[in-house]
Amino acid sequence: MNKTMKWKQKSMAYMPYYVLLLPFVSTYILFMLYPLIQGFIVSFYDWEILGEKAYVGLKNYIDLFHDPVFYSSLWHTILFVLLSVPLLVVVGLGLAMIIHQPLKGQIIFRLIFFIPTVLTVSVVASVWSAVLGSYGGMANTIFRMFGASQDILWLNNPTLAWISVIVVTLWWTVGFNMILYLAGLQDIPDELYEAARIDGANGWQSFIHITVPSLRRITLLVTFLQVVASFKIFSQVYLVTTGGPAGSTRTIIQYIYEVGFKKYEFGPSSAMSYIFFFVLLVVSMIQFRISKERS
Amino acid sequence: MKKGLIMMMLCLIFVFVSACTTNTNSENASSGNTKDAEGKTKVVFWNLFGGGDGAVMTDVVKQFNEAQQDIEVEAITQEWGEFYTKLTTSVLGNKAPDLAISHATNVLLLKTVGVIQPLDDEARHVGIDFSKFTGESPEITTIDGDHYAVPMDHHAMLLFWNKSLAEQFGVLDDNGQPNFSNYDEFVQIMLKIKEQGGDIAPLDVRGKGTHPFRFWYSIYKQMGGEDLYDNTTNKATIDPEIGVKSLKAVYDLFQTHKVIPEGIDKNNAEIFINGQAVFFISGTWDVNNLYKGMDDNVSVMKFPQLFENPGIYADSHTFVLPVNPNRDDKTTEAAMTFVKWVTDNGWKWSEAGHLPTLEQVMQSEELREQPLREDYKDVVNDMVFLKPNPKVWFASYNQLMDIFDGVWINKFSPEEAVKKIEQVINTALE
Repeated sequence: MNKTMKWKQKSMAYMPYYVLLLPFVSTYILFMLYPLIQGFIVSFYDWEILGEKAYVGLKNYIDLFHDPVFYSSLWHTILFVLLSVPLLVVVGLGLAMIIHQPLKGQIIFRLIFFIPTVLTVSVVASVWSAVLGSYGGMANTIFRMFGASQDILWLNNPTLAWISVIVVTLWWTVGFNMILYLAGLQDIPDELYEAARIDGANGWQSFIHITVPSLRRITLLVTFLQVVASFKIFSQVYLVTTGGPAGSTRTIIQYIYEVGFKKYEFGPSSAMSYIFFFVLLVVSMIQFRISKERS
Repeated sequence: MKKGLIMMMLCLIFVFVSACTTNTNSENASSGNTKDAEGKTKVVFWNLFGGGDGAVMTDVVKQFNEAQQDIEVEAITQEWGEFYTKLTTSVLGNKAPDLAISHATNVLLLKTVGVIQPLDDEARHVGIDFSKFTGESPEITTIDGDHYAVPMDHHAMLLFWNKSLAEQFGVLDDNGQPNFSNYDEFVQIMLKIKEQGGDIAPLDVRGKGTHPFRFWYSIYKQMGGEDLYDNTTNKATIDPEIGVKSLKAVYDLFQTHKVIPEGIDKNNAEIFINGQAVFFISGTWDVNNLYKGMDDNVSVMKFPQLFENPGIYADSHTFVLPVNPNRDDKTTEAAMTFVKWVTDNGWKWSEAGHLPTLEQVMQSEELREQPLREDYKDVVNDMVFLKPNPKVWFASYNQLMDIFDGVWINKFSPEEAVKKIEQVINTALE
């Protein structure tokens, strides 16, 4: 009797909080949970959007295993993660270290590196298409001013296209990592560095033995976020290279989009999404395990 | 206090910048179809015409709206690459427009997916006579005996050249036409320009995507190649030998002889207008802006016959009625009235360079007066259309274009490419 009354009292006490959570939870259920489940169901169907929807069991999944473009797209995404994550983490840290110095105009530097992250992808893609384009693109024009005799065809060669995609992504998103690292750097007490200096440590040793360990938590966070973000790459590649040249930069999300919205085959498209979801889940679990062990 | 204020301002600016860069193009106008404030019947019309084409279509719509008082057509342009996706999803979401454009070769697929409806009765009601339309379009847009489209234009591949540059390099004959009658001679004059040309490119063609594909398809057909796929067996039917030969013919221009500079993309027209190339392979869609940029210094002919048979890649823009339960009969009639007006006055749309589909308009004085039209009107005799397929619109199918792109940049050999083409088509149709 007493227990139930206490429980009721507690519930009543927390009621306002539940009410405040309600809008978010209902939106979440409607726009995240429901499509998640619905999409999973669709992946077992030959889902004609304006016609008969036929149940086909695992056919969509099995067909994917014979699809070379599925493999190449998935591989391209994984390759992008492998190349971009170390780069974005290290450059983010590097920029933060530089800006952390007591330079004049520090705020302006922070702004310059952070502003690209605020831009939408269409703006970023427009700008970089103009920079990387052939016959009058900004990059080639500058190189020619310095004496280059030939244009570099950034978007015409598979390797160069990859470099372009990574450079664009770096320019666009490294500012975010930089800000996270800056916050972390500011938390490291100056006394540690002073003590190290007194003990005769040089800059590099301070960096390795004080800065890096102190930033462990932030590094884990940045890496974790970056891996997930890099796996989700789609828009900037699609807008700058359209997955080219000759499909060599097509990412898995682009293929999911093309199969679903260009071929109108939502069954295989959903199946791919779920395989991708599974891959991401495994990667996240591995990361989680690693971070648990570390801390 | 001041710092806080500055920070707030900066934050607001950031928010403003990121919010303002959203794409405000399309979703807005869908039909709902009642009369507008002035009592006119409103027709929402989606098309995919950008650039020069877009400007002409805007003008055509304006002229129609001004020519009568009962109907107001609202034209919305969706980007070429995303047009069909948006059209289909709009039908799905019950927000379809009243009238739309479709390529003739894509009508079969749109009908199969359920995006468009037959329009025989609606067309006849306003006096449209299907027997008057020329070319293949009426036939390929008739499915199970019903018409699903009204053809508006023919657009096809053309060969342009810079008159002064061509004269300078001595590649024209006494009639001012390029001096070749087959593929080998064509290559010869390109090589001649390359030797003397310095920085000026002999031939300007986009290095990837639909342009070089259409170039190849024309050559493939000129060599006598069969259709690329069979709709009943759902298998690729590309002729292996002719496939390799035709791919090699285009590949040689890109890689072996290197008479086409690498990496040309959306700036292809610009390069030609700026006098950086002598010859330019493109289509009717570029006639208008080339003439604007180069005036009488540009000459044109239909895409040349380089092999045994005539064959020029072409397609047709047609009017279709999207499936739209919100559209009432009055609006349908208004939409079809607009369609009849545009086709009857086909020279207005031909300002964009495309050719009309009604014979009487082809022979009209107004068309004759448009620059260059007489030079390439004969393209309509040699047109070859990509075969429509109910499952995939191969004219814009990225996975297929990728294989061709791979040949032009020397990623695959023609032999490898033919195998991959078969593979991609078979996978797409299974």
